[in-house]
Amino acid sequence: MKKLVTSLENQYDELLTFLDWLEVQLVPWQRRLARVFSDPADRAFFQATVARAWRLNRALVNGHKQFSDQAAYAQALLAELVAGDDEARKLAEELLTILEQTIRTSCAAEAINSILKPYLWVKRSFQSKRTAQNFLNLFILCFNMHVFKRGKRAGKSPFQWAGIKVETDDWLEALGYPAEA
Amino acid sequence: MLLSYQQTAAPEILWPEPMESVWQMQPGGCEAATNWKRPDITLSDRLRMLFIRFIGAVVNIPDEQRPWGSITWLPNVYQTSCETIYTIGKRTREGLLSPVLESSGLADSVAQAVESDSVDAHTITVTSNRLKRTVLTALLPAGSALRPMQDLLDVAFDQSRSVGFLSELVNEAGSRAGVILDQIDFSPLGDVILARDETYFCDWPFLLSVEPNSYTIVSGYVEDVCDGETWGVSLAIDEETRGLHIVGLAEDGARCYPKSLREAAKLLGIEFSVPIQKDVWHIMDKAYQKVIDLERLGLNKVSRADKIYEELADKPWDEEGFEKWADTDEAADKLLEISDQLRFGYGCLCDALGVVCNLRLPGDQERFVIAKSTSGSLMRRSRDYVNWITPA
Repeated sequence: MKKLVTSLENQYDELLTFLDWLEVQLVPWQRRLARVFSDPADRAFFQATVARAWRLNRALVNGHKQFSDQAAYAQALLAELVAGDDEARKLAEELLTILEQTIRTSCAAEAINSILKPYLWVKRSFQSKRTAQNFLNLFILCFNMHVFKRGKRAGKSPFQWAGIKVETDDWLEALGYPAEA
Repeated sequence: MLLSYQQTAAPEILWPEPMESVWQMQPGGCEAATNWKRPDITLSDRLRMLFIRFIGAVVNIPDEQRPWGSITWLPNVYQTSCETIYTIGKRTREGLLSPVLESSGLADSVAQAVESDSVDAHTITVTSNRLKRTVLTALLPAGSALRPMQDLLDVAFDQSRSVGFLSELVNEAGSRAGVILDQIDFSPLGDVILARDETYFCDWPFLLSVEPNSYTIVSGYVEDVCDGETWGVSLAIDEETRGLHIVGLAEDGARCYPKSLREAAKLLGIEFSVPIQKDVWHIMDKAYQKVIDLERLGLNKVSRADKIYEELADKPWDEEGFEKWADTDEAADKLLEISDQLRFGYGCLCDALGVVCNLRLPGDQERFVIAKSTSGSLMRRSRDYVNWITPA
């Protein structure tokens, strides 16, 4: 217990940084919201409805199926709230994006590690650090240029999502091995 | 004696030749044991298996020549299933027809026909380029090692390449990939918050920095050690040469990270201090593990107390035994009470570290305060928050 409390205390200042990052995004959004909804109660209701729908949806994505009914209700409420109102719909989408893109964990890097690991296990060993670095380079290029097949990023590669231009979408072509007709 | 052909088939059914004459030559009405699954197949039938050949022959008549209804008729007359009929047909084809085709020289012509069909459908030329593409695809994303890759090339292209050739190709491509990655301009990512972590292989740390929203791997370095210096170099290179503007870092609780910022600042010659977000999942996972551990301890104590109680129940009053039970029971209660507190604290921690906490979103400048309670568990003190569960 003491160990946990100590590590919590040690990290305390840096555990909630995401709230600062969230605030940077949230404050301008709330200003835009105020232009559309003059009544503070309406604004609070709108913000709460969108955030609630997002949170419940995340709970579902993470496998908490007990929230299915609540999530469906929240989604329906949100849909009704923005129905026929393009500005409200846009605001809702913006808030959903802000919430979705808030970074609280290093799990993206850990996820990449978990993808890399099985490839390394197959390799068993490298002749030298240089060959290991070469393999890692290949992995990075291949991963960055591969198109996600599933999930919320489906249909585009990491480079495409990031807006990074490379001459080709084929990593092998980029390496100088173009596909043959 | 003939099988009861007339009893099961309509009298007007007469199969075209040669099916009808073969059918009429079969024995029928032989003895059958009652425990046989298929009593229609008699001992003599089993010995001669003529009817099986008949079934096999009928099933293997080409579709366009086979009399219509014969496949439906066979299960009826032999009192078996369609599946059995088809299985017999398949075995006949495999066991009898293939050797016949081979001996008659037809197998070659059939094989040639099949081959020519395939060639018509997919004509490929195995060039050096195709071979290299195949090797690299077998490596990534297929994940093949070099030796299985040799088998793959042999089967797919009738080509053999040495492990040395493959290894050299992979190395050369990797080196080229490094050059390409160094030339890529990551500036479209804009102000970026990077997630960083390392993994170990062959005692070398692989340092990875990732942009979490697009999942772009910004950089990856294989180093001798993982410390503040190596991470500092990684950060400095990312900031200086890749067109990135790092505005934040998400990382776990590794001790080398704070030093890496100072190292990066030294290398860059500027003040390089960015906000750090410590990974919330690790701490929540640790806390959850504590909850589980404490609950397990408490429940074990309860079991122990129950066991003592059962032992004492059948015995005369035992003061010492009773005290032992009372102490154990009290300890179990205490542990479960602390465990409950800790579980509550864990819930508070999850709320505090969530973006929309307990289906709430923190208000403007409000922050959750996590503090150590007197009982040693964690509790949350929060001020005025908008309730997100039931929107006002």
